[in-house]
Amino acid sequence: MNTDINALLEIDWPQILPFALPIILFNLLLIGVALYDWFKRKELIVSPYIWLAAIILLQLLGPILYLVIGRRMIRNDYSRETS
Amino acid sequence: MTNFYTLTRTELVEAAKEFKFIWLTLFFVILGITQPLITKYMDVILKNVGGADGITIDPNRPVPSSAEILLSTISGQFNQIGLIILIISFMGLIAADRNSGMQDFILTRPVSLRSYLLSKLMGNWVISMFSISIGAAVSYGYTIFLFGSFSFSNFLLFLLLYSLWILFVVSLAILISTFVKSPILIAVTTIAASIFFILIKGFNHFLFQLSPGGILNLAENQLLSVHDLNYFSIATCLAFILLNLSWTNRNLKKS
Amino acid sequence: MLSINNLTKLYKGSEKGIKNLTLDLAEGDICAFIGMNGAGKTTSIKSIVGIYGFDQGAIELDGVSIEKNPQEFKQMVGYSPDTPVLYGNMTGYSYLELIGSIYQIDNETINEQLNTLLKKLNFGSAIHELISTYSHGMKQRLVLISILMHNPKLIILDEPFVGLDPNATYFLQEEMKKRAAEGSIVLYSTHVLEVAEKLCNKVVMIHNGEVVVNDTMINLLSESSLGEKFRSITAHE
Repeated sequence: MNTDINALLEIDWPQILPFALPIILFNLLLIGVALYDWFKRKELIVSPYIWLAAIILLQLLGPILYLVIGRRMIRNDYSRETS
Repeated sequence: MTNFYTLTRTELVEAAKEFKFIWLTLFFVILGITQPLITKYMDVILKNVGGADGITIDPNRPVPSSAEILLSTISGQFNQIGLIILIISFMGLIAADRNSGMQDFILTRPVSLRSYLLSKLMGNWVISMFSISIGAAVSYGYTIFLFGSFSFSNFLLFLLLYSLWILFVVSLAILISTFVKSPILIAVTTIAASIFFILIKGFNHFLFQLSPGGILNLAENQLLSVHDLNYFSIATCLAFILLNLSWTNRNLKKS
Repeated sequence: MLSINNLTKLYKGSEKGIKNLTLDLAEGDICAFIGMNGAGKTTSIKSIVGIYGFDQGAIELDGVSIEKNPQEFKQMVGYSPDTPVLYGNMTGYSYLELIGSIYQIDNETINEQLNTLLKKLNFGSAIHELISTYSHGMKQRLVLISILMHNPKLIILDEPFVGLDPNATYFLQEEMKKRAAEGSIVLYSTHVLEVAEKLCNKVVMIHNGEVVVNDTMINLLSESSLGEKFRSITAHE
């Protein structure tokens, strides 16, 4: 992968935008839903900050895996804390 | 039957409160638009992202048809990564009920095992098909916008048949969760079994056509306008769903 | 009339479970299930309420068999498990509505029952809050309400007093007496023998899956206290 900064500038943005925009938009929405849920549950779930990193860094798979698996992995001591 | 209705509604309301409808739909929408967009803008992407100097694209390559794009979206995206995520989201189905004691809750009420199982099947099928339908519809819209028209009725017919396949997968997940305790094992086994059925449907022998995956062939053929259609698969698929359910019923009664 | 005949339920590949439990309870009876942890109390209870199938025997309530007619049987039973299980995303009220519709109780009766039960259990406005915010004791009180709403003929409670505050404990004891006097049958497992002595008229002791005592409380107490009896049974282990 060419990580030279010039490559970024050379990208023909008007040409690539119609491709990228909807995907980026929906991805941001999904990340938003995942983050909203994460904030509500970060006290309850197992290793919340690893999940936070996954939601933000792994595109598509991170948020969806958090929503499918991560949010259900509740810490065991939770039930005792509330009683 | 009133209990079936009450339980299904509870299942759906619980899913709604967890925003499952929203994020599962978003996921399938992203899957649905990725394939047509990547195919359309392949050359632009390759030119711009770099590292593609060695790769040349035949400028005269045939432009794929709408049908081909839809097909690769479904069998490439929905039926692989989509199915895996879907099954992982099911794995809580009965296993979580059992581990949390919710199954005891149901079993000690005047609710028949049948309405309990049917409500599980129905609830999860409705959630899945809601998300898949919207994802597929958006994909359809993008595809005809970028690659030209495609018959909407064929698309609907495809979706209808595909929903039977999903119904089968849900019933399979329910059945497997009566054998295996760990949620992760349930998901892995269900995914493996589903992929097995997807693989053997490719073999052109009538025995394989009788497998539950046969319904996928029928569904995909709706997109390809094949004329020699094997509508018998609908019956076999429904039979397999019934088999899964009655087997589950028996397993639960025994425990 | 609850009649349990020769109930046997053993777990696959182990000797644990319950063997040959025979028990007859009439209207107005309050019966205590007593035994060490793992003796088979919960196994018996779960078989009676229909969670476990059993290997042998028969369970009938007013002539309705749990095997032949499970739904009719369960309609007459109210069962509270040892750990309360509830939908966390629901409010207490919508949970009770769900239960009501499962038992097909009409809304008027639900509201009527709720008014009295909620007041007695000091629920207040918490009934409209999410169950996931409830404390253990509150969840238990909610379960109690949910199993008494349909006026069950047979009330089965698995260690009901654990985690209840003194007021709720008092309520539950009075409710058990009242319901029994009105013609229900109450069966509950417990480790608190002093309460059982006062509350119950029948007692069953289980040790290693075997029924060792199955008697009326008066008969048993004429020999020794429950505590002494229990220690003498479990001593030679």
